[in-house]
Amino acid sequence: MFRHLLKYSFKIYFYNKANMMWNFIFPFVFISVFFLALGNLSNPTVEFSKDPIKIAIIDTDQQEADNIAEFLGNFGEEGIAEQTKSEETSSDDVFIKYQLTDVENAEQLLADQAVQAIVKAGNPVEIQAYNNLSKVKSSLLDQFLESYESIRKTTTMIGDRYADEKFSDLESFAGSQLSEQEFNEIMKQTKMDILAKHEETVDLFSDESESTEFSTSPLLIYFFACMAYIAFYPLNTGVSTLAEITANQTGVGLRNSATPISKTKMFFAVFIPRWIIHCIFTLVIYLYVNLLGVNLGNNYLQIIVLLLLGTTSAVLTGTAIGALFNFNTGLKIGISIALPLVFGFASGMMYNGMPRIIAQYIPWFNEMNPIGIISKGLYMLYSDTTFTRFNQQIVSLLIIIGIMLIVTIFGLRRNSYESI
Amino acid sequence: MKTNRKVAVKVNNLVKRYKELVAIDHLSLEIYEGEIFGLLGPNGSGKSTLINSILSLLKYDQGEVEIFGQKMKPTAYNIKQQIGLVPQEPTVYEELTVYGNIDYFCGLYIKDKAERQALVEEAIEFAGLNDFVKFNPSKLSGGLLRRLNLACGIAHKPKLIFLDEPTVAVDPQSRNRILEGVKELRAQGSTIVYTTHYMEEVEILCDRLSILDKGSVLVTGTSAEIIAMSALDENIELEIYGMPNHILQELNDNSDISHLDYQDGRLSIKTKQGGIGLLGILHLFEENSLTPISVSSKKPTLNDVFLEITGKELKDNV
Repeated sequence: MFRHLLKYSFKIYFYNKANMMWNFIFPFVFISVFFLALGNLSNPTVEFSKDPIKIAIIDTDQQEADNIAEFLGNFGEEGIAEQTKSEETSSDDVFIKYQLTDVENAEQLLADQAVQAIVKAGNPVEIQAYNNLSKVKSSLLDQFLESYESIRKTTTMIGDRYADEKFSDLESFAGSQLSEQEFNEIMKQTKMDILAKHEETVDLFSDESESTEFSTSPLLIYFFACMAYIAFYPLNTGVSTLAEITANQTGVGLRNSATPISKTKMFFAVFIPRWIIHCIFTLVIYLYVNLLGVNLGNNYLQIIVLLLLGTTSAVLTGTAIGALFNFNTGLKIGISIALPLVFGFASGMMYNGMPRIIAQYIPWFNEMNPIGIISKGLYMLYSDTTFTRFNQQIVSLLIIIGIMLIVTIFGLRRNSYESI
Repeated sequence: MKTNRKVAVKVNNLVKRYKELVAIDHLSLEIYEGEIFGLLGPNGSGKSTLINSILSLLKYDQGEVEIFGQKMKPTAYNIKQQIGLVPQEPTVYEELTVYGNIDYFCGLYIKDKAERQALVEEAIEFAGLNDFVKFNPSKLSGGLLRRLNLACGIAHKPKLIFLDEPTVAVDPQSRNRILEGVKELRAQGSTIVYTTHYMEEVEILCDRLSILDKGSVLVTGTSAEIIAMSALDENIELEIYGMPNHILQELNDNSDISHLDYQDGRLSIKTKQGGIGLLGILHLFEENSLTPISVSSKKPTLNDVFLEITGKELKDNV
């Protein structure tokens, strides 16, 4: 009997032309229009490591200049003119490009916009001038120089101690110097600090983050929200699923309710095929987005998991609305269309500054906005080097799915109604 | 009236309120196995509410319902297994064909595929839908759609069938087919609860009926019993010229005659049921050598009784 229901539920949904139109064709059209409207998505603007910070280092103090150049060599490469990265350097590691030069030439380079800042090597090292340097990059440059200062101070302190004869002999001095392993450890830590700073400064979803005007792919942010919207779009399917098995909502609901099939069995039999169909739709749309050349990141498996959980949360949110509220099906369908739009708007689908505004004034809303969570998850997969924050989004989605399933089952337990 | 027949549906002191409105007001009813039981009532009288309450789809405030001797509950799946519902509006899936719809609903009751297939084909035959099995409901006429609606409700051969106004807005051919089908279902042993506004259908089909109004049963019985119970007069019209005054006086003095009018050779008489009647009047004329040119008599119909006891004012605003 369950198989019978599954078979027909699949047929009923698949043969419904309106379903096909609104749940499959429309998302394709929507994505295509979005893609065309935003343009250039296949070649998103600034990926940080592909657009390093360019600086000129004034080498008045040759020793200091060499020291800072040596330090920066760990995070980038020398040579402003070269357009391509050196073969030895991994593309992900090129955060900075620098040029040792004198004051006049540095100023000329800045005026020509060949560099974005002039750094004077000295004690302390300082930034002398900026030109066209975004807040994000400025913040990161500060972080580099802070790290350098920190290492230099440590080295100076050791030198001073030696000078003050606090070390009894050369052997102990040698023992107090930074070993290669320790140095590498500091470098690694610095790199992590830099990445953390980068994530923090360009986090669209934090009210404390910097402007993203020139940061990671602002157009992609729209597209993340757009993909999240599409993943969450099948909310109305959940509503119609419940309407079909509930006596006080539709004629077939009345008829189905009079049969000797339990509500729970009928719910799962009707829900499962639709859920599977929508998961396939979502995957097909993701494939289509990739075919369009939009790069949402290389973590394909994680992206797929995120989108499928998003779709699951959408259908179950719809069933929860259907099970919980008594108002008529037309109104519920209206809500199921409006709700993803509201969530999408709050997630930056129409204006990418929206999530930050929401985070500032109603932060709880971002926590319960499934489209925001999916969008944030996509963003974090794209920008973060670890899965820590992405995993938090997955957990949030799982919590929403759990709550919606419980609400649906609880609502379904009503077998008779106040009015039909 | 006591009877030894088995009770299929027993409704005892049922009350259903919608806030201030009492939709079912302490209603009690017994429907016997194997009969076609008519539920008559104006719009808003509580017929559909009663059916939904009997099926436990609707919560009621008071009373109890038994079906085949067992208490009816929303989770009484063993009882639901024996029930067929044909809702007022055609309730089928537009996405499925005629065959698909009947197979779908039948499959909710019958697990065995071969048995189901046989039942579906029988239902198609029964509803006269053989030529339309591959049609989608949107391609069917109103009558065919009603027949499909019926077939979906009875394909699993239920012992108890609720037919909620199954002949509304269908042509005479389809209506006749449906009525014949209902009789056939009774012949197969099903108990049928039939709601309708068409009095002639009730008179043709129903073994017994109840007239409902404002959530209460006003009267229950066979059509003849209900007509006989009513206080409506028989209308007799005669064309006769040169009526002697003493005959007119004699008729006027008869206590069975409530109204008499004689003008231009036309005599109109209203006489109580079971009173002097047409035969008595003709006998009187014969005794006095009077021969009427034409005679007509109109006995009260179920429709007259229905209007008499439920009132003639419009009910749609209830």
